[in-house]
Amino acid sequence: MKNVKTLNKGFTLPEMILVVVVMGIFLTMAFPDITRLMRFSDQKSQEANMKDIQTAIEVRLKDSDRMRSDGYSISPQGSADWVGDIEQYAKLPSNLIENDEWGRALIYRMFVDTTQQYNGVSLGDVVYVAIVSTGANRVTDTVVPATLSVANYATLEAAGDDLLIKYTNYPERVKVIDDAIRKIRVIEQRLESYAESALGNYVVEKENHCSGGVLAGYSDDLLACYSGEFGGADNFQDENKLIFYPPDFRENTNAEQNLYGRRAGPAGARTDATFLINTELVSSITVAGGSPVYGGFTGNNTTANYIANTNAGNRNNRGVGMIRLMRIIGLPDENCCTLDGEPFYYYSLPDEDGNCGTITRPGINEVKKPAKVTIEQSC
Amino acid sequence: MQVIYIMGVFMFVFAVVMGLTTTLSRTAMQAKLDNIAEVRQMFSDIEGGINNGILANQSDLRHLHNRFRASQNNQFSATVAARNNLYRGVTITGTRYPGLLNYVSWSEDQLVTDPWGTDIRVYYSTRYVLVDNGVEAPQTIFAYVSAGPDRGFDATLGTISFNNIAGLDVPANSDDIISVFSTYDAAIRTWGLTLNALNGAAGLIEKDYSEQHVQFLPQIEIFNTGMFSGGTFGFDNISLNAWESDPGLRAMAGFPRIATSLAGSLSLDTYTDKVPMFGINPVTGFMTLNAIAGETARTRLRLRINPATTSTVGWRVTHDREIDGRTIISN
Repeated sequence: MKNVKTLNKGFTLPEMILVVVVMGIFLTMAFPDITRLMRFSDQKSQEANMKDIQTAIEVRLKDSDRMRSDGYSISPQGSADWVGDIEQYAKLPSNLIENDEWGRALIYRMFVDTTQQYNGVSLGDVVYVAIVSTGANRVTDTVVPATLSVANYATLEAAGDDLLIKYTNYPERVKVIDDAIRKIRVIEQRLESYAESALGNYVVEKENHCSGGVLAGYSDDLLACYSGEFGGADNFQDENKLIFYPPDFRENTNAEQNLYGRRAGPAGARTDATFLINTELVSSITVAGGSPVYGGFTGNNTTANYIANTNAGNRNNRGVGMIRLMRIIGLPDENCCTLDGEPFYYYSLPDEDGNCGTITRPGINEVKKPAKVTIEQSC
Repeated sequence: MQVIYIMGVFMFVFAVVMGLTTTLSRTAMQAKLDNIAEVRQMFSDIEGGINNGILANQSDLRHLHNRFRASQNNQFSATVAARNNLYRGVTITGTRYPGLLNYVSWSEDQLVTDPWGTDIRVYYSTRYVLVDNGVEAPQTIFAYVSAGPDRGFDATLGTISFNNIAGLDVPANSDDIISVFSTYDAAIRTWGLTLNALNGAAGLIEKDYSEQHVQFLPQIEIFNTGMFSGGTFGFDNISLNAWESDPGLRAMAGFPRIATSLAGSLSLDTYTDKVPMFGINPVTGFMTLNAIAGETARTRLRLRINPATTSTVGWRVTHDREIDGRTIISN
């Protein structure tokens, strides 16, 4: 009898009502906090998402091998491709790049400024990006400019519950230029060392060759001596008017010739002398005072040492050429290029004002200038 | 049995509470570390933005606000206008002087308030520093101070002065975050660019002079042979450029002077296209390069660096380079 009574023990109806009411009161009190907590969580989550997007943009801009077909490194404003451009660099799935935690599409603005200079050198493409999430209220509180510019990028601020990320690669571009200037100085020092060493060898060679006698009719500026080791007479010049550039290290194969546009020189022309690499031929070159001069040897060889490594459109070949130059002058391969992988430009035989390109080159009796290595195609 | 049941429930509740506590603590600690790293990165970006951004486009900060003139010691809480101009930039008589926000990936709110909601303190002071013989540049030093996670400033500066800012450091056991930097490197860089311009322009002038001199060698030879003895023919107070067109060639004999037509800012005349190549950008506030003709017949052309703006105190430069025709020709 006692057991039966125990089994039938339970809550009375008033007790049950009391418990439900108390629980209801607790839940009512807690609900706003729970809602706030959820909203806070969403906001924190979106902030993290936007930081990830910012990092992805930063990495994308550093990946110079990933240029878009339209020439931009990242989607221009108005393009719907911006998500596709960066999704492989982000941890987020594409839908969380395109839309925020509240299901609204992120607002994307981008601007490229090519006019800025640093250390007297163009910074190239300085990119400005702004991305706005409208936040939990799904209303655009921020005054987002229709078109981003350098000026309104600076003044753009998030308003209301909107979230904003701003990114510019200006500091990265400065690093690239600083590093490039440092590398170019090293290259110039090595070119100078090479020139001094080669000049010493030249003087010795000239003395040895000219001991066999000088051809009649030649001045001191241009000696033609017997007994040249290259067959017949070799011409030697006044060493005070010469400068020696590193030699052409190309293999003399058709493939290499085709790759770099090399032409065959005249019979007897020296091919191992001071010609340089990756020559982009410029047919309109004229040389003051006669035939082209290659580091002391005259001839009609149109192949080399005018302008080397200047083809902006052929970046890969330029890079190969610069790496070879680095190996010749004893520098590591990575000294060939900027931090973002852009090979430098190399110009041998500039004129007396330091101009290169399609110019009149110094002639036989004119003083030669050191080669120029530049970040930009123009020199 | 009942005891085991109660202990089991207790252990379960304990485990849940411990798990939650540990997870939340880790998250809070990670957030704190992330915020500290973020502030350090922001301070580093500010330094880069001022030195490599703002000062890559102008010679010093005085265009942004006169508070950045020499002998000024301040903090931004007292000079909000100076802060606003430094961050947002200013436009003065049509010339835009960009601010820090043009060169960083931070918003103004972030630059002003740290992640813990405390206003960032910024102290600054400007003095002159010697960067070359006869060249003194304004050097501004900044101290950026975040109170850190505890929202309390532990570092104390005392009197705001250049030396005190330079010596500001994080006290022991403090969570303050401090970054001290100055514009010295930017001043050195600016002077290097200016010297490049000076040397480049000098080279162009020397070449121009040399080429023109060759054209006048026959006339000089005539003079030297005594055909014009008596001094009716000479070069003293005419320029080589003017020589060709001046019908009244009369003066005492002497040595040809360098063209006086070069006098004035070298951002003008035929050197317009050359000067920017050497880094001179007078529009945005670099110093200008002027050629000053000799005041008398026998004085030489001088190249002189001048501050682009004279209304405020900028660089102190007494750095001339003389160009002497005799030296050019003898070379």
